[in-house]
Amino acid sequence: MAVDIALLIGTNCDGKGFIKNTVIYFFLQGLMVELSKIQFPFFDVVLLPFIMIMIRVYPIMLLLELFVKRIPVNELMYSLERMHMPKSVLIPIMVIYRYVPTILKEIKMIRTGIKMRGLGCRMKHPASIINAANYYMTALISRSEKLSDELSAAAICKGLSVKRDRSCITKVKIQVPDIIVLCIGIVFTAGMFYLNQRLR
Amino acid sequence: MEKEKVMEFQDFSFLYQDGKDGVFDINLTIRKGEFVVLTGQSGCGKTTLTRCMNGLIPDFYEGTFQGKSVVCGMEMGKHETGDYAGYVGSVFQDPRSQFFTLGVRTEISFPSENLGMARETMQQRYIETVEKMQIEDILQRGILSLSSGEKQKVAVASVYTAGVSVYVLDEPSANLDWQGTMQLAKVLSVLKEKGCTIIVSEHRLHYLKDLADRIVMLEKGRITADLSKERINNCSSEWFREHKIRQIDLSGIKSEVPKIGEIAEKQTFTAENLSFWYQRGEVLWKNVNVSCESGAIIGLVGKNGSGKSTMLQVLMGLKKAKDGKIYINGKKISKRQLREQSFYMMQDADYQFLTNSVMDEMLAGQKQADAEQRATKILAHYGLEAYADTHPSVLSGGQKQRLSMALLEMSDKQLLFFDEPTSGLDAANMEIVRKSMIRLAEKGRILFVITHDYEFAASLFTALLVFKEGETVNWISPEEYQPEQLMIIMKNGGKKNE
Repeated sequence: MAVDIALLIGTNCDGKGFIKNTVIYFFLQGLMVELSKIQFPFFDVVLLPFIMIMIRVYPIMLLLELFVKRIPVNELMYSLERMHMPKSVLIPIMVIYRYVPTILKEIKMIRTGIKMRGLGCRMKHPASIINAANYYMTALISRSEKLSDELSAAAICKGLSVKRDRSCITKVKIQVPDIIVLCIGIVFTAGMFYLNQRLR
Repeated sequence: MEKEKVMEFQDFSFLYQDGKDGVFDINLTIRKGEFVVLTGQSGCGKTTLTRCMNGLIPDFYEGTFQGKSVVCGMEMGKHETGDYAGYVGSVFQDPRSQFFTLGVRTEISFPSENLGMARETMQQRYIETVEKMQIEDILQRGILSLSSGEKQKVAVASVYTAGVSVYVLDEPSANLDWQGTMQLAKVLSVLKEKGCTIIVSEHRLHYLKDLADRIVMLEKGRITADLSKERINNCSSEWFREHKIRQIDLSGIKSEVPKIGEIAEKQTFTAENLSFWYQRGEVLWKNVNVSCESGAIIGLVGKNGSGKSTMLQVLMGLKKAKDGKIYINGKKISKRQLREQSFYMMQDADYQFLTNSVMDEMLAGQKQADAEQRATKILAHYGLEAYADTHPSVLSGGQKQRLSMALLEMSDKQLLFFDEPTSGLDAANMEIVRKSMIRLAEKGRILFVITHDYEFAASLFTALLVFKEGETVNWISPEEYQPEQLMIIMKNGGKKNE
C-alpha cells in the first residue's frame, strides 16, 4: 500500500488529479474492507478479487499515463536505440505509442456515424446490438487500414528507416538529478522490502 | 541561362500492381526554383505523379515502371524511399495521419533526427524554422489540439528543418478553412522566396494564383496541358469550367440564390435561444435563433473553432444544447425525435461506411420490401450501379461522396446536415453534390451545410448562420440574405463589417 501511495503522489504532482485519484483509490480500498465482511456467494468469488486487482492495477495505470504523456517520443526512441534495442522492434513500439490517442478519436467518430444512421444499439432489439458491433468493427478496420497506410507512408517519406541511425535534437544523458531520483528509488524500495520482512 | 533540372521524366509510365491506374508517357522537366501545380479531375494520376517524386513509388506502392525518372539526381528504382527524404520534403492531404510524434516541438525535428543530422546543426535549423514559419505561439502544444491550418504549417516546418529544397505537396488544402488556406499560401510564398522548388497537386487553385509559375493538367494518367503563368491569367472562367477544373480566380464567380420551386407541404423548423457552453464555463455561443421552412439551404460559415460543428450536432440531436428549445411545425421536439428525422453527412465519409459492399451499405437498417429496387435506382442516379458489390473503402474520393449522397436519399430524412461536403472534390463531383442538394431542397427537405469552399457555396445557400468571434451567431434569414456579401463574410471569418 505504501508503494501505491508513493505512486499516487508521484504521478499527480499537479494537485487536481491527485485528489481525484486518491479518492478513487481509497474508495476502492474501503469498498474492499466493507465487502470482505459480507459473506455472499457471488461477491466472494467474483467481485472481491476483481476489486483487489483494480487496486493493484490502478496506480500502475496512472504511471503508464504519465509515461505516455510526459516523455517525448524522439528522446525515448533515441535512448532505447542507444541501449541497442533493435530498430525492427523499436519502430513498431513507437507506432503503437503514436496510435493510441488516434484510435480513441477514431472510435468516437465512428460511434457518431453509427448513431446518426440510426443503426446504434437499442435495448428493445437484441439483434441490433450484434449488428451494431458488426458495423463498428467493419468501419474501424477499414479506417485503421487507411490510417496505418498513410502514417507509414509519411514516416518513410520523413526518412524513418531501419538502416539509418537516428540523432536527437535534445541532449539525452543521465545527469545528476536522474542519479538522485534513482538513488531515492533504490533506498525507498529497499526500505519497503525491509519493512515487509519485519512486519511479516 | 537555364537553371539546373531538379526533376526529369522522360517517356515515363507507371502502372500500379492491380493493373488499373497509373501514369503514362510522362514528359516533364522541373527546374530549380519553379512552382508547379498539378491539377485535373479525381483519379487523373496527379497523386501518383507526386508519389513518383517523393520516392514512395516504387518502394511503398508497388507496380511496374518504364522510361526514365530522375529526381534530384536519383534514378527511380536505384534508391530506397528514405534516401529521398534528404532532398524532397512531402506534405500530405490528411493532416491527421502524417505526424509521427504527438508534440509540435518533437515533430519539427523528427525528419532531421531520422536523417541523423548532428545536434548542433539541428538546433540551429530549428530556431531558424520557428522564426521563418512564425510558429512560436504553437510550439508548446500537442499536435492533436491544433487546427488543420496549423497542422499543415507544422508539416511544412518539419521538412523545412531537414533542409530540403524541393517540396512535394499532395492536396494540402483539402481539409483547410479559408484562414488555414491563406496561412498555407503564406508559408508557400516564404519557401518560394527562398528559391525552393515546389510541386503542389491540388483541386482548389485560387490560393495558388499568385504563386504558380506553371500549371500542368493531367487526364487519365496523361499530361494534357502544360500552361505558363501568362497563359493561365488569360483564361476565362468558362475555360476552367470546360476543362472541369476548379476556378483560379474567385472574384469571377457570381454568387446567387438558387431557384427553388414551390413546395407543396411546408414544414417549419424553429430553434429558440440556443446556447452552448462547456463544463468549464466557457461559452461557445448563446441565444441563437433559427427559423426556416422546407426548402431552405442554410450555410454555417465562420472560422474553425467557432462552434459550427457543435451547432450542427445540437440541431441534429446528437448533443443537447445547454439552453433553448427546438420546434418542428410549432411542436417542441426531443433530442431522440430530432435524431430520427436527421441525416448527418460527416466530413470524412469513411466513418459512415459500415458494411462490406456498396449494396449492403444501402440496405443497412432498411426494412421495406422494395428497398433493394429503390437502392438500385438511387445508385444508378449517382453512377454507382457498377460498384454494387465493391467494398466502400476502395472507392475513390468522389465516388465515396456520391455514395454518401445516395445513402442520404435512401434514408429519406427531413433534416439533412453536411459537414464540409466538398473537401478534396474536383469540379465535376462538386457540381454533382451541389445539384443534388438543390434537388433535395425542392423535395421539401431542410439542409444545413458547413463549408469553407466559396466556389461551392456561391450559388447554394438561401440563408446563413454566421459564427462570429466571441459568442454571437448571426441568423441571416432568407429574406435578409444577400449573396453578394457571402465572399466578404467567408473571407473575414464572420466579421461582417470590415
